[in-house]
Amino acid sequence: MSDPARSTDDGRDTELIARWKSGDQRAATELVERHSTALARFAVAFGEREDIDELVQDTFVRAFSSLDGFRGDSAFRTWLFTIERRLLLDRRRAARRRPDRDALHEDDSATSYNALDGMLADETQRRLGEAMKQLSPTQREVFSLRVAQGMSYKEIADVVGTTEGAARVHYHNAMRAVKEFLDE
Amino acid sequence: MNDCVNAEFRDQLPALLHERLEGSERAAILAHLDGCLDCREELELLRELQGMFVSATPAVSLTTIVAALPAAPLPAGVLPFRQRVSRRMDWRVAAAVLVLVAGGGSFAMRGHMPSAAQAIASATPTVPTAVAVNATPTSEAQSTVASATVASNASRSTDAELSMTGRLDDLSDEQLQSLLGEIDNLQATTIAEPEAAVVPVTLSSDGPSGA
Repeated sequence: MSDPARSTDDGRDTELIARWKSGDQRAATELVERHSTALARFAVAFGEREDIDELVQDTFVRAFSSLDGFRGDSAFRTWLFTIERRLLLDRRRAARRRPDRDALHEDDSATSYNALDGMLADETQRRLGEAMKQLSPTQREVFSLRVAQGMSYKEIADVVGTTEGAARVHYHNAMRAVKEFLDE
Repeated sequence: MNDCVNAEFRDQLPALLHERLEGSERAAILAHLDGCLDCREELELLRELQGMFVSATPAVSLTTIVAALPAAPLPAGVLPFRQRVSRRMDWRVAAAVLVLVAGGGSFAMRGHMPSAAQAIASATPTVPTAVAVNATPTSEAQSTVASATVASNASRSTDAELSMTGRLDDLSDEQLQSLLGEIDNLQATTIAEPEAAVVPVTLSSDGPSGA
């Protein structure tokens, strides 16, 4: 699937990164403007509900600190998602070690996905949120990257650390599960 | 809600939603949607899900994020501000130390140097004395000694030369002429360097014999 709009976006990211590397701090501001909302949305879709600002900030700080390591094999946004996902998993591991943990777990999928509760304004959205809770963490992750971010299977595979084929299967299984829940 | 049997079109619905399809692909799926209720329903579901994610996402503070970012690297050849300040301070410190050393050194030397009056008192009599010694040379050796004495005195009184001008004014013309003449004589004094000895040798049939 060709994507001219995305390749233009990637070209702009590459240009901004080059400008930042040559000392232009304003390029960093534009990069943050371009990707911060998508990162926040990914965090919500991933099930995060607290300190999303901080998480997005940490993602950018880590990305800019290791920008020399970004080879451009994937899109800049995909790379940012990879970093954010790692930070999210770290958060969850840390939360799991806390004795008074009330955070989400990767393994108790049915009860963990309550991030959208209280955030959704109307009944339709709350119902959709309930449908998302039926998914396994991996299904939810793949499904939200596909639906909320419009990422290709290749990009999803890069972020999640799987194959394109597996990402496709997860997406279609998730879609089927959501439909079944909504049809009940 | 049913699934469309055309998996390829179904697969492209999220891309259509995010406007990531090119003209021909986009036209094909739009044509398919016209005749496929299942795909239209699935596209509507995708739109609602996307709306749910959008409305559930809190706004993030760009200013806070940007403020936390590391500074952009400086172009090659440009030193960081702190380093530039440091270098400038290094130069200033070096200059301050130089001024202190030079100032302190000259102050110390001033303490050790004779005053103008002392310089006049010590320098003035030296020259006539030396000249007096040299004035009546009895031998070349004496002359050499006298020359050395004047040279020594002259070097010792070098610092006080300017001070002597006042006292020289006190000398009469005759004394000055005499002093200058003696100085000329001193300069004309030959340097006592050993000359090669020449020994005449006469060769005879019996062998060489010195004179």
